[in-house]
Amino acid sequence: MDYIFLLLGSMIVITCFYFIVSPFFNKGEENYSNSGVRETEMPVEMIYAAVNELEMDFLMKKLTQDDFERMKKQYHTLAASYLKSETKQNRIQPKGNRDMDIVDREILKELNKIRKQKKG
Amino acid sequence: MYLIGNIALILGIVISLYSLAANIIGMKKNNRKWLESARGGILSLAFVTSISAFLLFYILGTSQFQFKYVAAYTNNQLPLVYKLAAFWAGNAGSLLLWAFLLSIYAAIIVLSKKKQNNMIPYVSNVLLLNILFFYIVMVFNANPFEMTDTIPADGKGLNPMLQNPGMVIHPVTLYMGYVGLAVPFAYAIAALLMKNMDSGWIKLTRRWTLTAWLFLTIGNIVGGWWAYLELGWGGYWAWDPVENASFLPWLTVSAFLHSVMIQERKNMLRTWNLSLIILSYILSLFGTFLVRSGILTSVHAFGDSNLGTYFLIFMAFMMIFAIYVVITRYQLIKKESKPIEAYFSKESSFLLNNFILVAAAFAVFFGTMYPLISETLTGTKVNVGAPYFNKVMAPIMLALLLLMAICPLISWQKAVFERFLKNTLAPIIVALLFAGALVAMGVKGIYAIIGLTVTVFMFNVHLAEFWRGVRARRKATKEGFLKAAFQLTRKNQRRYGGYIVHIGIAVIAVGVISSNAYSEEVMKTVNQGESFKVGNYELTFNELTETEERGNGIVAADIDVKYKGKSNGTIHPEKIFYGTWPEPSSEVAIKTNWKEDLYVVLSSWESKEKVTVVVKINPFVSWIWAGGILMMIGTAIALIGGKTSSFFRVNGRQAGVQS
Repeated sequence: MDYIFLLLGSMIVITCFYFIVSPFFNKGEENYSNSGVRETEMPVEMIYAAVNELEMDFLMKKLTQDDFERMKKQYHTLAASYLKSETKQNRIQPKGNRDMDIVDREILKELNKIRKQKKG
Repeated sequence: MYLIGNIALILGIVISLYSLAANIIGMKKNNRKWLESARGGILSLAFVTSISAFLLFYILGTSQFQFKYVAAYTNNQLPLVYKLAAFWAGNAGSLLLWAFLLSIYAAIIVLSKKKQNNMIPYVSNVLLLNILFFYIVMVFNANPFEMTDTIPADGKGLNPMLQNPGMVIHPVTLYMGYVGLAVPFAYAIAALLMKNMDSGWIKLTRRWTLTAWLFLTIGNIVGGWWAYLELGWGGYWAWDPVENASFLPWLTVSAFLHSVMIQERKNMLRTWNLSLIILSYILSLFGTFLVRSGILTSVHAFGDSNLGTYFLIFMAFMMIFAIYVVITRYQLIKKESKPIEAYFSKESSFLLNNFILVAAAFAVFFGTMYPLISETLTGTKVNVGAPYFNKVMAPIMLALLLLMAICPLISWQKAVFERFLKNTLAPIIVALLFAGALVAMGVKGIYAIIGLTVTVFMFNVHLAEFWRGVRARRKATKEGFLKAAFQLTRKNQRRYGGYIVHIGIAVIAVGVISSNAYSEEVMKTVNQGESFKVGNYELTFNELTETEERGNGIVAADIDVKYKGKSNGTIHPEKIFYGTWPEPSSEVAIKTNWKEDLYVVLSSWESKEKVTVVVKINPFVSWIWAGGILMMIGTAIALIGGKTSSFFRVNGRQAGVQS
């Protein structure tokens, strides 16, 4: 009986050892890079959620139309600035005004994309 | 079995230490293989703690009394379910449960693809520190696989008070809540260490925090229900130090769940939110410290151990570490903070809600620790007891209920006072009519009437909010009422899940206020065949019986019950004499209807023909349990959803709003 437990104990140790050691024998990238969340993805999503809450408050007659329009515009500007800063960071070599137009178009495209996703 | 159990425990320490080191090397060298190895270490930890947990269940279930833990908390006569539940009856098993839950949570985090970001090594290291602590304590102080010198023929058995279905749910859910708080804490510390001050960590941990809060809620409610059934004094919350210890993190996490919404929307209150989650985590350790140290008298305390010292040292270490990290990053946290745009806004009301919840936590903490404070200052241990807590907490909770009534009516950023008044009118009129009806019916007690009126006001506001939402949706989509109500909730689960939780709290408030203000109690000695009246009930004592079940002697009174003159069955309050326990245990008899509980305890007997019973009429106690269920449903809805949808855009366009 003791041998069985000894065998089981050894198997537990070997399994743990395998989990820990196997990454060193795997082929692949050694350098660690952040594959995580996009920097601007969350703020834009949060802004979008905030705008929806505002709309809800407006439709439930807690806000005036003027206040609602003004605050919504503020949020849209904020979202645009987030996307703009991300696009700027992603560009290696900016090329003047033409590129800025492209950035603006991308911002609008991105906002519409998020909106469509949410509706779907 | 002894070998495997101890190998698993020692492996726990070794792997925790290795994984901590591998994460640090991986981060320093920017090397993926070391980080992957640390990840493998965490998966191994989940594996070995699962083996330890399975093993403990096995030796408990099969009554292997050669193990000290099994002999100390079970015996042959104990039903299987309680043999297994004895897992968390003592220190060693409870520590293993902590370690098991922590390692499973850590494994879920490292396995989650969605969260494979650069925070993971930091997060897992904070969790690994916790796991390491629990393994060290188990190996050096409370080993669940320790052997006895001589094998006893039978065990000591489980404390009779623990032999209740509550034992299966209450400790586990509380532990799941406590352990769950380690996850947002770990993410907060990781964000600070990485100097990443945006609200990303909040977004990543929202579900973890809400789940931990849900388990704390379930744990507290089930704990109250268990105390009500088992302790025989007719109450459900005694402000016992250990009850308070689980209530404290519940209060601070409740505050956190509200204040994070402000950070999500406005990137404000970053220091406050970090402080709240650190405080909640520290309070979860504090709760365990109270249970394990036995420094305060409690029905829960396992006072015969020196585990409290370990917890005190670890708690102090984690607190100093967290404070150090916050202070060194304070300038970064403060940067880009924005002021509140208008004082009359949801943001302000959430701030006020936070102050009230934190004030409540402070009041409970002060009352709980007062015996120690008084002993330090005067040399005499003075317990403040329930009167202090009731006196201090009643106005705080009333203020909280009032705020819960007002808050949903106020919009984000800048509310319009006239519109707020207009929306308040109907709910407040109904609440005042309700108060008038209570007075007209001859209900006494000004404070209770005020409390009930505010509760009804809060309930009405939530119903009216839901009604307005459904009406707005129907106007936009032309849907039927039920479909509109369903879709409204489905598309805004976070908001309406929260509202259902609030309604649950209103239902609980009715139970708590009514049962405190209007309960009746009678102690009566009756002869065989004699009847007596309490409230709408008439009780007739028939006979006293003596039976034996699984070696335990049971003495039960047979009592006929009439409710408003009509027969309502028979009840059997009991005293059970356990072979393995010196004190007999009271088994309460309860008859429940929607508005009151008949609660009968067999107090004593002179002969088979003459018994003394304590009878209580507790109004609306069942509402407390019903409210608890509503809170769970609401939290589950908020958990499943969580993202605000674009549903109202349809409506917005129709209402002439530019999108």
